[in-house]
Amino acid sequence: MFLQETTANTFNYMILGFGVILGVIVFYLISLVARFRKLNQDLELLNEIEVDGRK
Amino acid sequence: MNGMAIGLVFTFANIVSGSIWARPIWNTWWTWDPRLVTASIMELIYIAYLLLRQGVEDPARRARFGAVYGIVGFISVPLTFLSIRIFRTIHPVVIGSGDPLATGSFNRVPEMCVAFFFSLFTFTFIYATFLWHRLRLHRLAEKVEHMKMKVVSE
Repeated sequence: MFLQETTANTFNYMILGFGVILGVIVFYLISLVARFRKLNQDLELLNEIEVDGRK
Repeated sequence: MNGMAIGLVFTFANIVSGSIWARPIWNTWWTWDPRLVTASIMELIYIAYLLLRQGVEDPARRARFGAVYGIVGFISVPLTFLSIRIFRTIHPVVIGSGDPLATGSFNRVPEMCVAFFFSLFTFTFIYATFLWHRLRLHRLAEKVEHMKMKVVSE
């Protein structure tokens, strides 16, 4: 009576798990892109300063 | 350092998705099981490693402190792996599940092997891709640092 006779439906938990993994990976990807952009901006700025300094 | 940061992201995803798995299987989101505790401690040790590296200005000292801390902190990795074999636990033993000494050993069916190796291959590929981009980012950061020094010295 107290024993479960059918397999529990864990589909929603599986979707939630995959969602979390995807979310974490996408968040990390966005952080990498943001850091790339910031460093490229810094590099451009430094190049401009260097060129201005030579003039 | 670059590989460790990616490992930190993967471990975080592992702990959170593991908690979601535990809810229908163990009927709780979290339990103070040895595997869960050692995995969380490992995550905290490597977060502290990142903070340590950010906190030291001098590059030579940062590298030395980081190397020593990295060696000591790595003890948490085999401890996390072996925790389900050393201690009494309810966590299943996924790798080497045929080990009769392991409390959580089970018979892995072929469908589980397919899912396991598919995930192993996929996450190894994602890890390698992230590592490649992290190395590119590291080189770019070094270039910016070099340019800063050059501009300041002129």
